[in-house]
Amino acid sequence: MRKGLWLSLVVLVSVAGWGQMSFSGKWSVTLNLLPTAGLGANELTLTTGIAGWTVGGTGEWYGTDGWVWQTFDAGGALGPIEGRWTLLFAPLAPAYLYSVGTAKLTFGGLDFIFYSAHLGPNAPGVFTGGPTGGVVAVVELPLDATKVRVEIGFGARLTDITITYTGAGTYTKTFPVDPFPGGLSFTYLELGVTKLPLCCGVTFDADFSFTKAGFDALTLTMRSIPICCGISFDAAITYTTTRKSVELKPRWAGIEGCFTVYGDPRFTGFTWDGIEIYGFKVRCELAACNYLEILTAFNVAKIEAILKEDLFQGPEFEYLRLGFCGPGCCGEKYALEITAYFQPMGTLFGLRRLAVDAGIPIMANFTLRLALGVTVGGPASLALGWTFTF
Amino acid sequence: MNRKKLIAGLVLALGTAFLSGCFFDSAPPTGTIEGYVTDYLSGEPVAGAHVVAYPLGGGPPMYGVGSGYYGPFATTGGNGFYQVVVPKGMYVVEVRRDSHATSRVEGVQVTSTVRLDIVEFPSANPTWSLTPPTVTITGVAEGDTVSGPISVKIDATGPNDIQHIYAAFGKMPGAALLTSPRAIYSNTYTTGTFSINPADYGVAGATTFEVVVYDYNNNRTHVIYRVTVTPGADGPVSPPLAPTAAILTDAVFSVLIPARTALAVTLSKKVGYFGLEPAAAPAGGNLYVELRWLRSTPDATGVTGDGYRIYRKLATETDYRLLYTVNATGVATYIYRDSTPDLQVGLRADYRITYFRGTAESAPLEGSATPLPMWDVKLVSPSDEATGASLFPSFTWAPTATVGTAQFYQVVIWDYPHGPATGVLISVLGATSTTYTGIPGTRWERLQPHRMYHWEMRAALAYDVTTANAISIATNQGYTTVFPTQTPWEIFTFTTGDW
Repeated sequence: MRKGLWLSLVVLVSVAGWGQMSFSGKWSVTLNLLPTAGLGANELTLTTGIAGWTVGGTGEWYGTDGWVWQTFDAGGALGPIEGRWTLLFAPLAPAYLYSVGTAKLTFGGLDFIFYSAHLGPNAPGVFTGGPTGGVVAVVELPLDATKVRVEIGFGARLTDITITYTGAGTYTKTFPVDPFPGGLSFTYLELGVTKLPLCCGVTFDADFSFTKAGFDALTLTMRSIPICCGISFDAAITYTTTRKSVELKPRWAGIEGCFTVYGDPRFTGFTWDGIEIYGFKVRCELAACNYLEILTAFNVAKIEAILKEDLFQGPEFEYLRLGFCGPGCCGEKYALEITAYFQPMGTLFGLRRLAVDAGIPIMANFTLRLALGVTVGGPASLALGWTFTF
Repeated sequence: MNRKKLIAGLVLALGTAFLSGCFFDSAPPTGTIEGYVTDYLSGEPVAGAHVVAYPLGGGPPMYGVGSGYYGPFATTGGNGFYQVVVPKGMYVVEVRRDSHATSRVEGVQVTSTVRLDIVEFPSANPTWSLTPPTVTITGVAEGDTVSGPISVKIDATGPNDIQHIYAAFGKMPGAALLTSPRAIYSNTYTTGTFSINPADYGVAGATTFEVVVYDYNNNRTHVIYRVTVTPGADGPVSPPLAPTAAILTDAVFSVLIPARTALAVTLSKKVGYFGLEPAAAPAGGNLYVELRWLRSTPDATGVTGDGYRIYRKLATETDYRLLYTVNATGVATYIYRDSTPDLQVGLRADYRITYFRGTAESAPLEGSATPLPMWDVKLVSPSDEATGASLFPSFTWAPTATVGTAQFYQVVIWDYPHGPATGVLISVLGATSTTYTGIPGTRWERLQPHRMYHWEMRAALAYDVTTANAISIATNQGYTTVFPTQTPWEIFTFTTGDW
């Protein structure tokens, strides 16, 4: 398989060379200097054009694990069809892991989208459960904001599948088509109408799904039913063959602007109890792109989930961040962020960690990155990296 | 766009889609492995542990897939629960977590849904190897039929020295309090050849032979073989009887915990010494239900090979399921402690205990228990390092919660100048304060002036033996050996004033 990977790269390079086509790409590197020197991450993307198609590949290397992922992509148009195909390999096994293809065609006001996914077999170092594959077809009719959608799966589902590498570090790849249960037998059918306008800004969704076993579920959802003060909720009624369930999903826009509050309305059954505050953020713009930001989390897990960032380590719950930027080389901008992280007790002012992140353009297509972290009473970390586009 | 172009486009679209799939295989039928990962000593859930299942005979995979349909990877939730879905077959399940040793279970057979609770320890030294021991068992193998004592040899090797080797029929062997009987060999990489008799474990028919090995970094390997033990001949049976002797009595308050078939025991702190063995508490160690029963009439010394079956139904379940079998040894009173992690505070557990001989089985003895919540007791006054205390001081404490229908406290006053073991005990039922009245005719007739004393809560037991059949222990610092000792506990110092 390792030979296959090299062969693929050689073929890619040869084809491009034969066609006298130029490569473009991106090279991004992070080198850890402290506490121990070594490679943090290295990502190299090469793309070229062949007959109107973009063909390329991305290799990813991490820490002491080495070459963890290799993807190959091809995308372009074939007549009225737009297509894209991605292959994922496990260089360390080595083994083929997963492929996904998409073909899109618009005709008569209808969008036809075909998805296909395939999973590689079990191999030493690889446990996928066995090879599977299937296809999903989607037909969409957009009518202004309202959309009518038919989705039918044969051995596959239009839902995320995650492939995980676990070595010295853990790294994941997520793809949008799950090739289970596999085979080309009928798996499911969904009929849906979304954003059907009712009144007062309330919209209505209806989803009807069938599986091999017959009727699966009917879900009727009313979205953005207003209560007051920026609070609204979605009400979903789901009918299945065995039960009916009602689900209320409250939403709160929060207080936006310089002062942002994160929280959720709290319901007990169908009674509104109040608002649960998870934390708040104060951001003061000092100049064009210079700012001061303070984030306090009363519920760290919730705040990290809302912001989709792994912000805090250990007992940390608050940070103070100063951000600067200004004109750099070649029309680009430098950026500098200094962040102090705080814990409830144990150190002077509760200061636990100091982090400095900087991005400095050296050339038009070359940016140097620097990340420094100092933990009070702990080891310092220093990483140097660059991104080079060509 | 004309019709031909459309057809060509559709064909190409389908072709592209199918090309990327190459071969559309169906996934093999799947089953589920699920259970709890729990900490040692306390039985607390281990949240955020990474669980991976992979086929027996292979190595841990570097690459794996997780989807809504199938996924050999899982991360334990806040209650320690995990669930992985894998093709039917025989598996190894491995659990890893930062700062913890590795737990590996070999021989997990997946046919539909299999329950697998796993114990995981903090690593003794994070710089030592986290590779669990490799275990070789000779004398018994997967699928064997066993009809009497067998000679077995267990060898364990790994990067770290071996700490304990346990073996038993029909259960995951570990701490003595919760899993006796079991064979145990310590500080050796081999057991040598030893004899183990399934009759000593009360097992018959389809059962398991299980080995648990710990190394000195607390890495753990658990091997499960499915074996069949030839049942003995049928014989007369009659139900076991409810216990008559009180479980715990106190000299001051007479009977404290009267006889109960089932008694739920909640431990509010980690188990200290003199309780569970420090290296091998099984899952759910902080909450267990103690079952006690008197022997069935036909169960007399010398009648072996038969036993008692324990069935359990939680309030969330509809049917009783066989939980365990206990060997019939002819002793007058039997004790079994159910410590499975699905026991929960406030969740009633109903038990049935039957006596069996061959295929004959008695009517059940029934019992039930509903575990009480945890609680603690904080010392209030005399406050720590108080001065000028009365020679007849009042002692006050505050429970963190009202638990059970009665609360029993025992306060100890230590007078160190008279020797570290010299103290006086005051037992209190229900109240949260007591005044020292002295012991006339002794040197304890009053406290002595200008002297430093210590005081502590030696026992704090909350119980409900009328409806819940349960006890919750906030502190047991050597008060009773009926229940495990728990640490830590508060000790306050105070100094007396003038006469």
